[in-house]
Amino acid sequence: MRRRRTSVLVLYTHPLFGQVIKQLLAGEAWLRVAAVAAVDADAVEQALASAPDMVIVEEGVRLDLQLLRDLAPRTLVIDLSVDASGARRPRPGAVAANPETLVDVIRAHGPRRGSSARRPRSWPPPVVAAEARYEPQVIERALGDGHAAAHRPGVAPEVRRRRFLTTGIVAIAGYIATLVGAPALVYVLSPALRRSGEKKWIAVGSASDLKVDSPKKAEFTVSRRDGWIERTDRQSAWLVRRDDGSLLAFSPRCTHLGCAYDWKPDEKRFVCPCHTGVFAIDGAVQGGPPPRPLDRYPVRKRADGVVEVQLL
Amino acid sequence: MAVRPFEWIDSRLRLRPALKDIVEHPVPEHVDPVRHPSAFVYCFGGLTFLFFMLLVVSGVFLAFYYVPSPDHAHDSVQYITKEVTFGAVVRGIHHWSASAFVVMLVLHMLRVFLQGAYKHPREMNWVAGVLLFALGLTMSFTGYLLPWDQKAYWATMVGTTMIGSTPIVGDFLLHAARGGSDLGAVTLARFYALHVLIVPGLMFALLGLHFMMVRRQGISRPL
Repeated sequence: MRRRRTSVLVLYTHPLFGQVIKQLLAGEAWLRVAAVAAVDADAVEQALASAPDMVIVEEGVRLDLQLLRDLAPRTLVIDLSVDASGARRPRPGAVAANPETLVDVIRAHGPRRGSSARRPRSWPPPVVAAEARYEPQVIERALGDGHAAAHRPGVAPEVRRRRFLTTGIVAIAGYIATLVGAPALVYVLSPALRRSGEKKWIAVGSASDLKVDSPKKAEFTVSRRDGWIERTDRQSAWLVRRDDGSLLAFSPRCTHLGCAYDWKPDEKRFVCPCHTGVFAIDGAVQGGPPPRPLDRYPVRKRADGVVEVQLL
Repeated sequence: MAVRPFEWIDSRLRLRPALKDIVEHPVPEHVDPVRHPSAFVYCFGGLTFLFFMLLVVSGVFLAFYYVPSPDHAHDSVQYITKEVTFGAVVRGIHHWSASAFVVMLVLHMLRVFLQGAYKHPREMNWVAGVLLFALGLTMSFTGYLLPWDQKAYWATMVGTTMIGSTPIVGDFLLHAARGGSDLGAVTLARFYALHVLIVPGLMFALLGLHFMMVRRQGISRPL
């Protein structure tokens, strides 16, 4: 007497899964794939209507499994995973399946052949595994060489499509990152990329106020930009007019340790009170610890007689 | 010998499975707009997250120049907009993403509500989403004050006065929100801390839960 074949309903969330499972089960004489359908309310209705012996559901969506079990309590449900990489661990209580063992796993958990064909070996039926994967190896094996060779030898069209889409996703992500990242980088580096402006000439007084060889300390304020803040600093410089008409401007700091020095009119020299550094009227060191002459500022006289200096 | 950088890292950390999990995650048929044009409604959540990430990135860059003090807040924002190279771009991304974020957030919430997707077994994800909605609006409210211009000042004056109209504890809440009875330096500082530290931290944590739950439970189907 010919045994009745086990009817199987395959439910997928991705059509490729249904195709793969159907191909893999094609060689099994003891079962018959009755229907392949997407997992939704209609498919669940169909599961009831055609009264399959076994339902294979893609991916461990608990909601669907529970629904199926509620609606068809006598049907064996296998929650199947196809994982060729072996990188994932099966869910607790589940059995892993890979392309080599897939059919064996289904066979092992399917209804016992013989007189009690419709009764599962154990009840409630076991959950086989959890995560559905779409590995190139599984797809190639299931679809066969002829199918793939029609497009490109060795690579199934689904695989090429997958690679194309992966490249596309990475490219779009890179495009967005560049579009936002490049301006943002320039934005952060903007102070460093900006060219520092020309040094300004600062008017510090009138040349007519300077007597020959009688240094005068000029006090002035310098304004500068600190981001969005306008700062004004008080600065000073020693101005000297020589008898040949030339002008000198010295930084008001001693070159030894930066103290403010002063002009001694009776001694006709600059003296620093901190460590008795002594400078001549042209800034040359005459004594004490200073390592170099007084620092000079660039200085010029405008046509209207105003003296201007540039700070260092 | 040349070594491909990704292979070098992958051979040590085995990143490939995690990466495949993201780029090769299959789209369930009922949310695929190619098969079902009306499935574009499932994009709202992802778009909300896209704008959230744009806000995070542009916000981090704004913090390079922004100073949350009454003396400097307005001037530093003007400096960003008018003087820093691409400053107007970075501020513009933050400005427009903020509006788009709220629009997408509301559309996403409407989709979930109208489809009844908040029902069993996704109640906890709905709660996480409602908390994210509240935190998103908190971000909008606190961020609005930071430019410290007339609109920001008076909008916050109105908003905090509304908080003050709460029965019984209103006065306490008003003082807590403003950091005193007046809207001033303390208000600006605490709004800044909420806007860049506290609320984003909470949102990151809740977003992690939100995504973990949707991956575990799947995207609901319309009834």
